Formats: sequence, structure tokens, C-alpha cells
Amino acid sequence: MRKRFDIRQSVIYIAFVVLFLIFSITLKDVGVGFASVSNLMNILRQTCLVAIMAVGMTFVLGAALIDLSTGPVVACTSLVCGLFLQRFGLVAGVAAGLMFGVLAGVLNGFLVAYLKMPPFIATLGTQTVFTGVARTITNLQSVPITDKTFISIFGGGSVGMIPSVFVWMSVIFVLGVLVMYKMPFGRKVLAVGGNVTSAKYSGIPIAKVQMKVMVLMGVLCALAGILWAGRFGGGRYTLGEDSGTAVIAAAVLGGTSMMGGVVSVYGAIVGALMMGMLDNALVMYGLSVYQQTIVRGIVIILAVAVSTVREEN
Amino acid sequence: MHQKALDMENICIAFNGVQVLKNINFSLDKGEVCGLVGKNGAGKSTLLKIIQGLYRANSGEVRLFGENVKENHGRVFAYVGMIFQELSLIPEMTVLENIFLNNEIRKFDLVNIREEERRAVSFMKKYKIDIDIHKKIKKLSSADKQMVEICKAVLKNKKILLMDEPTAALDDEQAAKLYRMVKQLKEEGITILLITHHLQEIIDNCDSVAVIRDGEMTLGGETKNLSMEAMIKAMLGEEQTDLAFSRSISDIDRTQPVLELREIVTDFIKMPLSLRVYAGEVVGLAGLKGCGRTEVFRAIFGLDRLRSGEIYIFGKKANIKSTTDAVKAGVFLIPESRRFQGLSVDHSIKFNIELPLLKRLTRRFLVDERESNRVVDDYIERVHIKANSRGDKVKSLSGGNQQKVVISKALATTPRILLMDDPTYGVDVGAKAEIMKIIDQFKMSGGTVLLASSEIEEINQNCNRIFILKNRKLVGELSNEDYMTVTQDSLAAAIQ
Repeated sequence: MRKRFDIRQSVIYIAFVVLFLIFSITLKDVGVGFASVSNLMNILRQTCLVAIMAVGMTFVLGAALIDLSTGPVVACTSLVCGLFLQRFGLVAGVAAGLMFGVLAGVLNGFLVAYLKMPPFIATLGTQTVFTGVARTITNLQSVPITDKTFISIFGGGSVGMIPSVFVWMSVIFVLGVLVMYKMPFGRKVLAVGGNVTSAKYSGIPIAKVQMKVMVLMGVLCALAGILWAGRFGGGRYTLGEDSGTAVIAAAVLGGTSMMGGVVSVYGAIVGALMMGMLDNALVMYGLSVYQQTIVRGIVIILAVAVSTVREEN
Repeated sequence: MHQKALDMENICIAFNGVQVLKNINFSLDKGEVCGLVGKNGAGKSTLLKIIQGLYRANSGEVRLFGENVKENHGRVFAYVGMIFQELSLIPEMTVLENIFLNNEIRKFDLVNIREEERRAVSFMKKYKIDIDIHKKIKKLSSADKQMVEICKAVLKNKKILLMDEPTAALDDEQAAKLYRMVKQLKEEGITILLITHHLQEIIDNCDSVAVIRDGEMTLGGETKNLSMEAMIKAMLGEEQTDLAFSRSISDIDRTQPVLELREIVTDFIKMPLSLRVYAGEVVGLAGLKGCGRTEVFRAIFGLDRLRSGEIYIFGKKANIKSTTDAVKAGVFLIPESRRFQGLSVDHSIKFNIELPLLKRLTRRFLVDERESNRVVDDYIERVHIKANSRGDKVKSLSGGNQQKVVISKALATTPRILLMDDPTYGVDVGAKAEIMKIIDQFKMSGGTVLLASSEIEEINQNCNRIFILKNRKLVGELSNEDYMTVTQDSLAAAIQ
């Protein structure tokens, strides 16, 4: 049977194109112009980090879980990475950063999968903890990173015309698509999110799947944190701190259901691009940071509203 | 002119170009009790939804108490009350709160509990219902929940009650209680239309019967003029031959049990329970609802932790701590509830069947789609799942076809031991015979089946041996070797 064109499934793509056109026209003469190559590159660079995390969030939401602690994990990672890099070199810095992500994921996973805490509450708690940790590690001090190799691989550099963050995002995107749609793990995630009891009766180890999903999210946050540090040239407690909502919004905008079982990895990338594009345009329109948060909040509400309508039908 | 409670004329309805109901002419008198029968997917639920006003027919006329629903949309449907199969009561609230939910009696904008109590109690007294109105719904038996549903509808002044398989979850005694209430409601002038797969219930309790096959009304009339054979014929049409299912008898080698439970104890089975099952056997677990058959399955399938005792599979001690271990050990459970336990209904047929097989289907980290499609299509054909394609969402299938997906999913894991908990619940006669045939084939190929069912008939027809369970204890064993040495009466007596 041929699939009918579903306006609700495609609304994100349509909105993306429409917004892009509107911004391109109305912001043509502001600065370098919205649609100029340099500005688009700028948007892409800003978006890549959120997109990487949004891929992880697709798995989390797909398993009918949620992770509110992603932002502070990014911040913590940037600091941990910076500290280890200063003392023990590049490899140790990256390894320590990723390790922090794993540990954060294990903690979230343990609370959710084994202590059976509601993920919303559990990760709200760890979010607060990690926010505190990020401020405590260096006592609000930034940790500068001067290692040239690190900066060119993570964040700052580029491969020809292509920024290295974009390469990282592409790799994560391809892996995400493979794991979600082609590997058994993706099906297990969707089964757990779709109907946890039936998944259990099918012999799927529920807790293990949930744990793996939370660890995956932690690792992707850590990667984002390392990249953020690379772009910023050091670790800081504010880096990526408030990216958490944007990440969830990107995934939901892209068509992933908050109820679990229904996901789109492709959509997550488009959702992230849309959030980045919007942020960029708002700056160009001259809105203050605080005004921007208002608009961003409204967009998130709209995204969830569209997704709710989608599920009702 | 005599006014009908419900009058439907030439009703047609189609979804996505598929004609679901064709020229249905159907009417009910005031105080008539009518049984609606048909195979899964015949169009019964659609008909009910039109009567409730949830669907609008493409053509034809519906009149409720003489009023055309098209002109009086909304208002007339208020006469119609639906008693849901999957109950719509809120478990954490009391009987009283549920009965008056969204229909509270108010006094100065506060809920007038005293008046509510008075009305509920007098209502219950009138219908001789013995339920504590301050009990929480979750503490009631299924039968009592049904009664509360009915109370709720009648107190809302519903004149036509639609019941979707009201007795499916009830044992015989509870069903009798329900039908006593139906009879009383009838005397009050309330019209009742009920769906059931138990034809005997219709003959015993209904004034009339309506049979639907493939969207057409194939039989209608007073029950006293109709035989059960006529109903079955109207329901199944040409497929009737499938109904005669005969069990094949295999030689059973009793040297080595395939499955042996040695004095197992769980949090739910307090008395140590032991049993042995051999290859090529279908063994029944018979007992009333709550006798412990589900609990035995839960223990074997790794859902409940063993407190003591051991499980042996092919003579080897099996260490089953989770469902994952159980599936690995060659055990698979067809659970009681397909919607909640058996299937992920928002996903496709393929997704559901391949779920327990993922390990086997994986080649170099990726799921082998070609092999997966082959397996899934093979089962769709073998088990006769009616669907457009393997990509159809399970929730778009009828109950019987959903159950076939559950069975395919189980068989595809090539289990050695199949645990079946009420596998034909809510399934029509035709699909039931098909399911039984599948069980039989599985047995003949050397598989072992433990079959639990609330229907004595089903157990008796399919099982070589029957274990009797009572209060979560094994109280006896009946041998059924020579085909029906156990009579239905003796089995019925044993489980009481």
C-alpha cells in the first residue's frame, strides 16, 4: 500500500523551508545577510552540538524515558576534559571527558532502570547535582585549553571547507541511523518504549536496554561537551548548560514521540537545525537574549502541541 | 405504530475504500435482549460504534426511539450506554465515585454524597447486587466490575445498553449472575444488545440473535426458532468445515520429561508445586479464575522469582531468572492479554514477530531484513493472518488476527515448551479452531504445550492430561489418553 502524504509528519520539513525563506528575505541586508555562506556556516557550527545530543535524545524518548540532565553534563565534561588535558595531555583529556559522560549515564540509568524511579524526577535531581558539580570543580573558574591539535580536531578546525564539528555530527548521525533502524538495539529500544510489558514478555532485558540508552545519552553529552570546549577554547561551567531543553525540543520537533516507541533520527537533525536557525535569526532581528528565550519557549510549546495532535490522530 | 428502540435501515459504511458494513437492516424493540455474533473482523464493533454515534454511516438511516439521529445528533445518543470490554472504571476510586463520575449529584456546587449513596444503595437493592459501594474498584472481581459498569450506565438513564463480550472474563457462575441482571433490566424496559462468542449463552439468555458475516447480516430472528447449527452456519459460511477439529494422538515417550517442576514456590504459589510434562504432549491446567494457572506460567517463564524448588528442562536444571533466560531455554509464553502483554500494538506485525528473534536475525551487527521478511511472511501465510502487508500496525487488526500474531511470534522463536494462557480469549469459533490446529501441529512435531483456559471444553478437547488447580495448589490430575475419557461434567466438578 502506498503511504499517503501525511501533513502532520512533514510539518517540520515544511516549517523549516518556510522559515528559511522568510529569514532569507527579511534578513537579507542585516550584517552579512542570513543566507550568506558565512552565516549559514555559523548556524551549522552552532547547531552541530545540539544535533549530536538530539540523536541521543531520540533513543531516550524512543524508550519512553527522558533525560533532563544533559545540559549540566555538557558543562561538567568541558571542565573535566580541560583539567585532564592541562595536566596529562590530549588523550587523557578526551578519555576523562568521555568517562565522565559514561558515569553520568550510569548514574541516571541506575536510578531509572534499576531503582525504577520515574525518569523525569530522577534526571531532574541529577540535573541539579551536575549543575552544582560544574560550579564546584573549579570554583566558577574557566579552564583554558591551548592545545592546538585538540582545538583543530574538536571544534575549531575544519576539513577543507567543512568545519570539524560538522564531521563529528555526520558521524554520529550515520551511527544513530544505523543503530536505530538497522541494528537489533534500535528495535529493542522501540519495543521498550512502545509497550514495556510486551517487550518483557518477548524476552528483552528491559533494565539493560534502559541503562544502555541512558549511558549512550551521557556519552553523546560528553562528546558535545568536548566539542564545546574545543570551540570555546576551554572548559566553563556555563557551556551548553541550557542546551537541555533545545535538545528535547529538537527531537520532538523532528517527530519523535514523548510517549515512546515512535522516533525519527533524521527529524532530530532537522529539528536541531531549525532551533539553531531560529536562534540566529532572532539575534539578527536584534532581540535581546531574554527576548530570545521567550520565543524559544513558544517554539517548544508549539512543537509539543503539534506532536500531541499527531498522536491523537 | 409500535415504536422501536432502535431502527437501522440500509446502513452502509466503508473505511479507506473497504466496505465494512453492507445494507444492514436491524431493529430492536423496547426491552429486547439481542445477541450479536460474528467472527472477529465481521463488523460487530463498527455496528456498535454507529449505534453509539461514534461513526456516521455513509448511507442509510438510524432511528433511536423513532427520532432520526441525523436531525437530533448528540441528544438521542445520550440514550445509548456502552459497557466496555476493557473496563472504563478508575481502579483507585470507589464504586460510588465511579458510578457518579462526571455525573455527580450536587448541592450548593458540592458533591452530595449522602444523596449519591442513597440512590446507589436503593439501586443495588432493587437489582439484588451485593457490592460494597465504598470499596475501591481495584479490589473487585471482574464480574463485580461489570455490574458497576452497568449500574453506572443505568443510573445515567441509558435506555439501550451495548455490551461487548460481557462474559468473556467471567466464570459460569459469575456469568449467570450477570444474565440475571440483564433479565431484570429487560423487565424494566431497557434494551440490550450484547456481543458474545458463546452461542449457548445467546440461546439461553437472549430474545433474538443477529449474525454478521463480512459486513452483511446473514441471520436474524428470535432465538426460540433458531438452532445453534444455523447460527454457526450463518457466521462462518463456507468455512464451516474448519470447525470440526480433531486432535491427533501421538505416542508419548515417558522416559525423560521435557519440563519438570520440582516443588517450586514463589511469592504467589505458597504450597510447593511439582509436575512433569513430556515431548509431544498438550497438558491442560484447569481451574477457575484465580486458581493459579497464570502464576505457574509466570514462575516457569521467569517473571516471578523462585523462592525454592527447581525447574528442569530436558533433565537439566534450568536457571531461569528472567524472561530472557526463559526464551533462551526454549520456553515461550502466550500471555493472557494480547493488548497489554503480548503485543506492541502501535508497531507493525513484522516488528512484533521479529522482536524475540532479533539475536537469530542479526548478521554482522545488522538485522537481516531479507531473512526477517521471509520469516514474517511465512507465518502470516501459515497462520492465515488477515492483513494487507507485514507492515500493518497491529492495532488495525481484529482481535483474532492479533492473537494469531502473538502465536506467530511465539512459534517463530522455535520454542520447545509453549505456555499458553487462555489463547482463544475473545476469539471467534473459526479462529479458535485454527489456533487449536496450530497447537496440534506443534505437538506433532515434538513440541510440548501447557495450556490453560477458562473454557473446560477447550481443555478437554486438546489435552492428553489435565492438571487441576485450586487456590494456587495442584489438587489432582486427570488422564485423557483415550480421547475424552474425561467428560466435561467430571472436569467441571473437579475444578469447583
